[in-house]
Amino acid sequence: VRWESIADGFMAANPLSALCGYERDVLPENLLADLAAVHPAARGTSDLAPFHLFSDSGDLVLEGEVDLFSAKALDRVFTLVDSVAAPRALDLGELDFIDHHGLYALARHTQRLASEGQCAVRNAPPIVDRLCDLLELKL
Amino acid sequence: LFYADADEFLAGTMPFVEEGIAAEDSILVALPKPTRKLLQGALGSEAEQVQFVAMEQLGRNPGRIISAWHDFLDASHRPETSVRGIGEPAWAGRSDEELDECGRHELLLNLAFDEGPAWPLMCPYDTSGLDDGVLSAAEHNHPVLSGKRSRSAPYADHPNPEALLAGSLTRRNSVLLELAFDKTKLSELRRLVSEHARLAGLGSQRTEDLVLVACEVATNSVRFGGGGGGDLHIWCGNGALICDVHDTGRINEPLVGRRRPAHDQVGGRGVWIAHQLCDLVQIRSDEDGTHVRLQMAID
Repeated sequence: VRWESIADGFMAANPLSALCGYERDVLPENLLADLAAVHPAARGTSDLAPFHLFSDSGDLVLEGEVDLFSAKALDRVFTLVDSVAAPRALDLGELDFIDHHGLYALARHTQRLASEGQCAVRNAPPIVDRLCDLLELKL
Repeated sequence: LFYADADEFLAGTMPFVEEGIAAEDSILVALPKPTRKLLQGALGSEAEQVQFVAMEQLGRNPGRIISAWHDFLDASHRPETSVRGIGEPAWAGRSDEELDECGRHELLLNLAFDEGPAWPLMCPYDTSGLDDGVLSAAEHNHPVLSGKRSRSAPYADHPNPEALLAGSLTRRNSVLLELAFDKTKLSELRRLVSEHARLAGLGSQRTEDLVLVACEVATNSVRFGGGGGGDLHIWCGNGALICDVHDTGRINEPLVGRRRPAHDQVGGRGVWIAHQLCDLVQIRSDEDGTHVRLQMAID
């Protein structure tokens, strides 16, 4: 997963595309979910990875849906990805849904990155701002 | 405080507020617009020493009023500063469902502030505009009565917590959607709630709010509902879009979702969020299961 994340960052910055194959029947579901999550696009994995966290022009992009049942995966994948990507910003413009469980998982990472002097949050959907206001939570 | 007109309202509320101002109490007054304007006008420049809140907004869903009182108490500097409040959640023109929730709210108030230092909270009731059933319930729910009405029912000193979540809800209208869900169907549930909210004419912000809240409540059903999921029904009625989430679990805490969750608190946020964002939330729970009914007015 770490290698895929590094490769994703490299491809985002260079004129290179790649197709990655993973055999579903032999790999553990959690691993497949994390692998799918760090790809900007993944076929046949909507049941595994409801969100994607990938690099785009030096930013991290969180796309898709995060709820209670994917918040732990987000926590795990975010830890891996930001350790290799050192993102300048987190773009939430393609985030379709996040519940309060997901928001707390996300906030733990954005607050940590902010305390290290990096990573602004961009394009947060209005519902994310409203939920942050309600819960007095800072992303 | 039972009042029939502006004079009786002011005769009851003015001494209470002026006593608080003289004692330099922290004072929060949550009233619907007509009585709020009346009291502000009567207080004149003294109104600046009182925090006024629009009850038609705060109390549109009565389920969020207790949380606001907790916020007020937490922000005050008790015991150095005393506090007092006025709250009028029931007013003429509210629907029967809303007034029923107001009655439950008033009962829960006693339970919510049973522990800790006592503080005076005056609840005005308009005897010229409210039904006798609402007024009788108010007599039953309040330890001290004032105004021109005598007690006809005994004060419910310590209401049975189970009774606070008991009772039936109105029957469903023509159901637009019925969905049995478990954790694998939450994404579909969100999509369907969004579709129906848009079709019903809710704006984008309130559609997003309803999708979030329906998912939060359905997630509780998956986690605590007894069967790993539940049933969602959606229909329109009384100018609102209604989402009813049912499961076979039972809620034993009648104050669920009525206090702002602490930052380090584990759990307890889903229903609180629902109360904050919906126009009405009704919770009924007994040995047959739990209904959490969410309403969003179609403007």
